[in-house]
Amino acid sequence: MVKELNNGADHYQQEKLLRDYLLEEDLPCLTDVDTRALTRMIRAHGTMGGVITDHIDDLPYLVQQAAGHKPPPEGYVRQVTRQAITCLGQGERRIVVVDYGVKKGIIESLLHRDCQVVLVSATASADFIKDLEPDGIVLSNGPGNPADCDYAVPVIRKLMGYKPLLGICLGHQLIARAWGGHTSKMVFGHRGANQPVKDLRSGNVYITSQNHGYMVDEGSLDHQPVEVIFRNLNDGTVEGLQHKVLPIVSVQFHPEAAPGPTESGFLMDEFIRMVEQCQPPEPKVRQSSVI
Amino acid sequence: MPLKSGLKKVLVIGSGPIIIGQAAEFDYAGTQACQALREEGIEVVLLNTNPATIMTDVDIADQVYFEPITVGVIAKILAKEKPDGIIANLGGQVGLNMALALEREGILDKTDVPILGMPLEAIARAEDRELFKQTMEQIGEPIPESAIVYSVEEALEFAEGIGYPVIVRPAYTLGGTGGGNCQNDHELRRIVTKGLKNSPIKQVLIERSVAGYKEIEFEVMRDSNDNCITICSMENIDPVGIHTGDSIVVAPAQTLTDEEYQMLRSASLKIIRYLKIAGGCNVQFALDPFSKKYYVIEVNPRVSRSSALASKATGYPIAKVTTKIAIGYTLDEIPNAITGKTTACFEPTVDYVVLKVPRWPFDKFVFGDRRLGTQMKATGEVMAIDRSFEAAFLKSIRSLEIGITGLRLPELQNIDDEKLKQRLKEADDERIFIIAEALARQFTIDEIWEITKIDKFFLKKMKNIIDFVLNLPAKPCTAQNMYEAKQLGLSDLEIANILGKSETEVRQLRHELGIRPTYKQVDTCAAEFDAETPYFYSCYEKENEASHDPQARKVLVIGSGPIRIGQGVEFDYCSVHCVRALREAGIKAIIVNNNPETVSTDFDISDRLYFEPLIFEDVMNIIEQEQPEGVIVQFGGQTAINLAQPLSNAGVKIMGTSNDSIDRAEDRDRFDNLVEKLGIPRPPGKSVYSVEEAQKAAQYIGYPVLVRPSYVLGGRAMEIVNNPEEMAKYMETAVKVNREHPVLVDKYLLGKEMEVDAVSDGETVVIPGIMQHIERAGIHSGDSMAVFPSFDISDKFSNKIIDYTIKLAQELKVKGLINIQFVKFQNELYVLEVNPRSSRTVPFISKITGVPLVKLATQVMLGKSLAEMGYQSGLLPAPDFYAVKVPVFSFGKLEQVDIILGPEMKSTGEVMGIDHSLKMAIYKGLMAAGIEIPKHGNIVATIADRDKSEAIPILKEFYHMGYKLICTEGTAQALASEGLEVERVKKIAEGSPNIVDLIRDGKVDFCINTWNYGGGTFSDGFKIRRAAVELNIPCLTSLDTVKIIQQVSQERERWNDTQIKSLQEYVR
Repeated sequence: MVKELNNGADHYQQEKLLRDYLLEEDLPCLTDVDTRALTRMIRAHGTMGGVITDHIDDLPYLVQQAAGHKPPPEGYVRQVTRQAITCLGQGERRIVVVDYGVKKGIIESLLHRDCQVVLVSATASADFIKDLEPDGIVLSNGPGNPADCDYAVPVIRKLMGYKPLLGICLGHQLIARAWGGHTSKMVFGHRGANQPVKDLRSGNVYITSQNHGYMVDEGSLDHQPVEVIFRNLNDGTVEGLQHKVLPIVSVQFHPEAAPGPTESGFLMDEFIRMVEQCQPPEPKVRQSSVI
Repeated sequence: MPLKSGLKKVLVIGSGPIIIGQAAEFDYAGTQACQALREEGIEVVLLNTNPATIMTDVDIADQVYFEPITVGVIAKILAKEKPDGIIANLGGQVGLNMALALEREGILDKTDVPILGMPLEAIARAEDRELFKQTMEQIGEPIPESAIVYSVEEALEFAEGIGYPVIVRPAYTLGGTGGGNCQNDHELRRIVTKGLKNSPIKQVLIERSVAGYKEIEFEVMRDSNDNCITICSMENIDPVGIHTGDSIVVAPAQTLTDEEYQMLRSASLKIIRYLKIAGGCNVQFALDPFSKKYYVIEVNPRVSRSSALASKATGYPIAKVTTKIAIGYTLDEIPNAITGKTTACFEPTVDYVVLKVPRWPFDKFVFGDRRLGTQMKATGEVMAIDRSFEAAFLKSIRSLEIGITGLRLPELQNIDDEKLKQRLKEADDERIFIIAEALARQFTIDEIWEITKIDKFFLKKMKNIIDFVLNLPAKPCTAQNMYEAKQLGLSDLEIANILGKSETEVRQLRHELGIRPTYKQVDTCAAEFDAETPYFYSCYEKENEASHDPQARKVLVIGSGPIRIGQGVEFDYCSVHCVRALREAGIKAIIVNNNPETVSTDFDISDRLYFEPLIFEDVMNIIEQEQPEGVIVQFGGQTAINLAQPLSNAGVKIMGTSNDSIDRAEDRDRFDNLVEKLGIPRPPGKSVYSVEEAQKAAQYIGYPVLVRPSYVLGGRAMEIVNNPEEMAKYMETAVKVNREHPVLVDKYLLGKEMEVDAVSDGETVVIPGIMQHIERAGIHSGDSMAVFPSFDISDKFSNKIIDYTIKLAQELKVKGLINIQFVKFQNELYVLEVNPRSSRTVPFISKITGVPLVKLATQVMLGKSLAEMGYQSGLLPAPDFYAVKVPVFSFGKLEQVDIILGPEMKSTGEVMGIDHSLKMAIYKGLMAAGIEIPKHGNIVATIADRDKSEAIPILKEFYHMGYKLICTEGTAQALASEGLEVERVKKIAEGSPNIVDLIRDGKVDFCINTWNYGGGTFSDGFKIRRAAVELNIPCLTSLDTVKIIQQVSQERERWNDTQIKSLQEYVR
């Protein structure tokens, strides 16, 4: 959905126009939308279902369609995760990434940091993951309600303390749930590449890239050995957690930011350091192929 | 970190007069700074010389010093006021230069007063080219290959090494004064000579030209906790090579990928972190359009023109936040004034397109060099906001008020393709219209890109407009087509012109089709959060966000648009005061304006701000939206006055002085009847419509005559004509300027000129003071030095002035302000001009008399009488001090412009000198204006024959004071016959070394030149004047000015011992 579908861009890296790409992929695109009016509507009434159509004759039907929209019973994550293991890179450290709908940016930022990345299904068991002998585990971002992924909670609990854990976005919410915390739906979520987040450890503020509609309820973690390390400056919500003893960190935003500001990329470095401290890298036989 | 402890009093350094490169943006920034400080309970001491600003109001700062901005004065202020800190990064280049000078001269150490917010090292690193280069190398940020040189020879050697083209940038100059692009040795030699002269440290940078690269700017902000944010990215539509102040700029940047954007954003943050700047900073980049290669071109460690633009473009108050950071706060401790809920530590989201277009002074300087380059030439700018690039672009064009409704200039339609290509290449002020013409002639995007290197994205956007316009006549007048036209930004008038209809017809048709604009809010967050900002722009969309409260009493104030010669920041001052007076009276004040540099366009000044073009259609749309009880046009200069008639015709109530009265003062014949009825003499004159009539009228009245088109703006196209030949020439050019209105021919009276500003309710007429001009009539009042109170006018004349003023105001039933200019000639007082509206001198006179003229005028318009407010008719008593307004010019930046003063206004700004002694007040004013007359030295005097008898006694005085006089044959002979020793110098035609060579060699300290008035650019007089101006040597063209300078030059001796006093101490 766009205000204006530009036909005039002319960039040296451009391969084709967005319009042509959409046509090729057979994706619908609604143009000339008063996006401010839409935003204001969502701001007032919260996230809601919608319909894109070129037949607006039967309005009651369309309204019913939009209002009646429900996520699939098994949740979105099962629709987008992978089944087979994928192994990428030849790096020094092996990082297992549990794919709840992982962004390419997360994989790339790990590969850039000299990691071998092993991607596993959202439904992979803890033993399965441990068998891969990872040096660290990343719980990826993903779509939908974290409550729909409760199958992941026992797995995460078993991984806690086994190897350093980094949760990003949905992964962060799932870690919170694994600690017994609650998550809830936000009115309209955090969207965009300019969400200011304060690092409570240093007092510094970072501008981050975010796209989520659920959040961790802060009060629900009161009796857990975790502390809030990041907070959203706009609404004060929890943006990051750290275990007081174990090497577990999670953030609601995207430190790999693509698109978006790159300044919270240091979190990936911190994670790698955590991995190194837990287990000095030793030579392993590395394979790079789809298993 | 909260407010720094022990910070009770702060000195703020202002930027001084408006000149090209340093305009109203520093009034906006300074005002925000002072307010931000006072909010914290900090006492503010301000040093600034510009009386036309809001910043220098007594209610903005606790102590306002109108003293020349020099190290000596600051030292005196520090000693007297004992502030706890200095804020210098909101006073433009002047502020930065002062901060450095204070450090250099050890004053900061001696007094132990810190510069707040900005490490001095950062200034030096950003400003000194060598240090800048080293700094960027240290942090691995690329800059174009360059060399610092101190001589022409070094420059040539370096250029030989890297090859042409190269760019010359003098160190520490405003708006890049004296810089330029060079293609060869010859050009390099010329520009480096000038640049070395202009640079206060005699240093210039020669660098590889990256012309053709994209020019991208980032406004960034950092606090003492090292938090950094980006306020806004901006992209210059003109690629690198044209000064950003002369470029059309779009925000946010339009042609970058996320990767490119983040790359440059990260680089900006890296730079500001390394420099440890606390506050706002501007970083400029050149980005290769075909790779990720980029260069850092410039870092401005201060609030700048770009930050004013970024502030208005996003709603983020950069100057205010910079000030809060300077006094200790961190970004996350400062609330976001727009949402009220979030903090200042966020990056604004822009869900619209903002365009800034420069306003150039070439309507005034028709013979000036219009080509654009690294030297900024624009005096002001407009900004427009809309939901698409096309619409914002067209809005900004009509905001310029240059009589253009769309993208096509009629006169360009007659030039041939070759000429068009040539002009595309040269890049002058009409560039966009030339591109539009080329597009209309079906030049391809590639062809135009090849020549201009303007990104194809922008060219395609322009083509969208042109294609639509070309196809419009064939389209039926359906709602859909009309809607598309309006969404694209076409004005009713443009549509009317294309379809051969009238604007009224199109407007009516549009209304019948149900197409009206919607208004959207500027809220920094793309509607993500509920915002209270009363800041709106129009667009043609689905939802209107501007609520309408029919119960509230509302008044619309029309602003004054872009800063231009003849209409400067003074009208913004008036608009702001009017808004304040309305709000004090409990009325909702709505303002419409389009100037991003000003205080009036700060969203918290009015109850509602509309950022819109000041033309009938856009203003009328706002009126239909808001339904105000009336509209005030008196304070927005000629821009607003021009709207009085069309708005009134549309049934809108114009508040205050009636339209009919405005017309009686402006229409020639009606004005003649008016003064005749009142028995007030005026110079004889006639309105004429043809060359023959003009010749006849002039013969009848007798030469010299003053000729001008009716409905003038700052003396536009006004000239003194001495004979029939000149008359013929004038009529040829002036009539082309304006076909609709007649040309006025008046007897030119060479006498003493006086001026009053008065406020009237139709019965009571209050005159705060009479200003007397130093220069005689014939020099535009905006270019004359004006002294208040008058110093050698007899009671008889001053009574006459009072009498005439009261009569005129009463007869015209003036409800509000009136400005009248008088000339005393041969024992008779004549009225020259009556302007029933606010004038340029209103801020000046308001400040020094303490009479709040605009406030009184606004109250009168709301129905109060002056008597009720405790005033009675007549002149208020004169104070025990003198205030002198001195004009300031920007000639150094405008090549090929003749600096000789005449009835056409040429100054860009003004300063004020104030003292109990008249001479000292003038001396201070001159110093503040940058005119420093050396104690000894060489004067080049070239005097026209008709001025010789008057000039000789003045030159004699200088001679006896010990100056050496250098003259060409004629003047030398005249002086020799008076027994003065004079050095003779060759005229240009007599070969070298001649008079111009002498000036260029730096052997002259100041010039007096009255030669070849109107003689064109080939005359010796012109060449001498230009040589002086380009080398920054004072050059005076009016003998009245010369005489006063001679009289006050002894004040130099007393200057160092002079006590300084604040405005609050003078005016009690």
